[in-house]
Amino acid sequence: MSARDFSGSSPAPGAGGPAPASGAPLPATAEDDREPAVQAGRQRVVWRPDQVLIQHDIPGLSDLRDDTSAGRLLVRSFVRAQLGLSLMCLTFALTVTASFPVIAAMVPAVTRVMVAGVPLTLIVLGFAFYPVFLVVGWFYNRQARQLEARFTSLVDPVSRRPDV
Amino acid sequence: MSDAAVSAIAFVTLLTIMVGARGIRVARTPDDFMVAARQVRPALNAGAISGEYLSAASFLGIAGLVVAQGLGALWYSVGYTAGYLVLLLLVAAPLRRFGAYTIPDFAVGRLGSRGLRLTATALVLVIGWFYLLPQMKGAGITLQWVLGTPYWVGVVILGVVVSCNIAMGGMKGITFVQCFQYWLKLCAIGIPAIVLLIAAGHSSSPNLTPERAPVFTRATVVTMTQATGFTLSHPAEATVSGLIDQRTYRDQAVRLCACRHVAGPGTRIGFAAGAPVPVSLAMEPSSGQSWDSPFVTSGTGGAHPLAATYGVIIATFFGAIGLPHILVRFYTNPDGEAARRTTLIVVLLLSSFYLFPTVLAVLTRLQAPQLYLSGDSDSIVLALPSLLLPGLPGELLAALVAAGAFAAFLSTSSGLLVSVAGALSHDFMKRGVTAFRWCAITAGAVATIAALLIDRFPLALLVGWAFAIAASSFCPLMVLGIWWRRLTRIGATAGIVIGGGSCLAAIVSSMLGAAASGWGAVLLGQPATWTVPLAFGVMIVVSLLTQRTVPANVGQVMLRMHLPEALGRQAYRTVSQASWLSPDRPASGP
Repeated sequence: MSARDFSGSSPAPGAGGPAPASGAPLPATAEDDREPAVQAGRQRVVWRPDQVLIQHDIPGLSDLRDDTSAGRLLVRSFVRAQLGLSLMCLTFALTVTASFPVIAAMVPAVTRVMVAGVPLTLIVLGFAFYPVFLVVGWFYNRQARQLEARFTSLVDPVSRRPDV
Repeated sequence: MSDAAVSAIAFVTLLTIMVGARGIRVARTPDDFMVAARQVRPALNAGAISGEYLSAASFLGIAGLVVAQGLGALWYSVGYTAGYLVLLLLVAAPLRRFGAYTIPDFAVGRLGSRGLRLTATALVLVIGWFYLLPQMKGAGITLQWVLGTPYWVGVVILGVVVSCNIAMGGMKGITFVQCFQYWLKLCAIGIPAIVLLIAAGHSSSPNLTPERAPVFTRATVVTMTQATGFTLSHPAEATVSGLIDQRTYRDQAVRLCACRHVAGPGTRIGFAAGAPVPVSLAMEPSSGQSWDSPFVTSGTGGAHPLAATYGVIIATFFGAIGLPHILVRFYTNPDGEAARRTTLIVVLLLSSFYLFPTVLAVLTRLQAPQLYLSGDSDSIVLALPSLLLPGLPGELLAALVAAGAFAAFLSTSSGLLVSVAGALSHDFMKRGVTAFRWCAITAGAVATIAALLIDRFPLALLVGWAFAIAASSFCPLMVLGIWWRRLTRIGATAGIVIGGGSCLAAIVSSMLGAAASGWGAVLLGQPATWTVPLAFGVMIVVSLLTQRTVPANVGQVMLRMHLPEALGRQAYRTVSQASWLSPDRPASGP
């Protein structure tokens, strides 16, 4: 597999000392001329048959790899933000749905309300919750995508550049 | 019953068998699955997930339960949909990035323990079998209704078709067929619902108002298929032919008092328009709740409806995460972001589907109240079209419904049987195609035999129980495994064993009739209220006590699950090939 082949011949990531600050990514192990893949600051890696990735040496990433305290902090805060978003959406959806039985038990009059000849219970349980689920899911997807984009640009600003 | 229905069922079954025969080389291993379906678009993938998910309980069970026990049963359809929202919020993207095919794979990849793997596999078998039973039952009553064959014939036919089909080649990996099954099911329940709704007009019927007991909107003859006890809300004139209250009548006018009556099998009772609809004693919620109450009464004998409702809510909301046949579908998404999009589309597809059982149940309540006297609420959806729409159109609609129902049994039970047989052959026997075949046949036979014993439980209740077991075992494993670094294998094993075990014990004792009323009935019949918190609690406490066994690679696994793919692949290059964490291969043991 190409992934394996690469790992065997790849320079140890993060071992290249201080990484380039920005601009065209410099190879961390440019002096390692045994590597045919390492050429002129870029490395072309066939990672999966369907994908061609361009590797850079990125300061944020080597932090993550090495599990340095900075990297750990970064990842933990990111995971925590994701979890917070999930729990917020979950709490909202649960509150909207699971509060209905309690309300109906405490105020039985609610279950006798008729809307245009149809019991409120039928409208709520049969139809009303589904749009709520869809809106919560849509909101979550949008926010999660934004969180990930923000995190990616934080640790890997280079790959955001359109010319790379 | 009708030739149209028979040929529709035969068509769906033959289609499935043909696809299974063609699939011999298509879907043998997870790797085939991955190669074949790596780049499945979210819309197609979501259709396939929904097609596999919508089972007999959704197609027949919910409408029947709503008609028989009231609007509270709609919590099942709300919960089945919400389950996917919870899955989206908590596990969809990280699970895809982790790249496990099955729950035991996830358990061992995250925590690395052979014992945990065996425990998880055993639970896959329990949940899979529990979920297979209602599918078999659905097939039994569908054929019973269409062909008039005894209950066991349909059960055995479905068991044989599915087992042989899986043993031959399986239909698991064929995304397109699963997706087609979703649209078939949607049409098979949506078209009849809309047509019957139009046919029924929008005449405001009195049966929806809570104050009055339901009355017949037109003269109706009720035929008792079995000995039935029923009550009337007020006295009524009726034309009786057959045995009632230990007296035999021959088309005689009888004045039935507002009290309990017993009708013998085959008795026909003709009611005039405006007469009260008899309430079957077997169906009557024992708490005396009205039909429009928003509480669940099934499985608990009607005791403590609020607690029972929360039991269903917790079980269904959190159970979908732990279903054994759903997880593998997520691996066909290209990345975590696509997994999230797919899951959101699944929520949309399920929401659209679940509108229609509600419509059918309300139509039955309004237009054909005699159906919920018959004793078996699960056949209501099948019987409704030809009852409301006489002649050819009704028969065609009935055929469509029967075909959709069979599609539901076939797709769900195929997916389940693949999971069960895969777990059996992978973890308890030697690997290989032959072992997998024998496991498929054995698992199918066990489910068929067990299904012959459970025909008195409503479909939706049985499926709800499978969800309860999943919610009290695998849900905590997945949620804590993804979000909590300090989970240990000992904690996970203890949580699965105690949570899943107590839930299973409660359900089995409820099935055996251990407690018929009071708190016992609620805590045993809808156990998720206490078993889910118990499983989470045990898992957390035991993990905190065994912190020394936290896996050394937990940080890397967390990175892998939570980093966006573009970053994750680069950050992971060094660790990913070192061990079983390789992204191109499933975790397969320490």
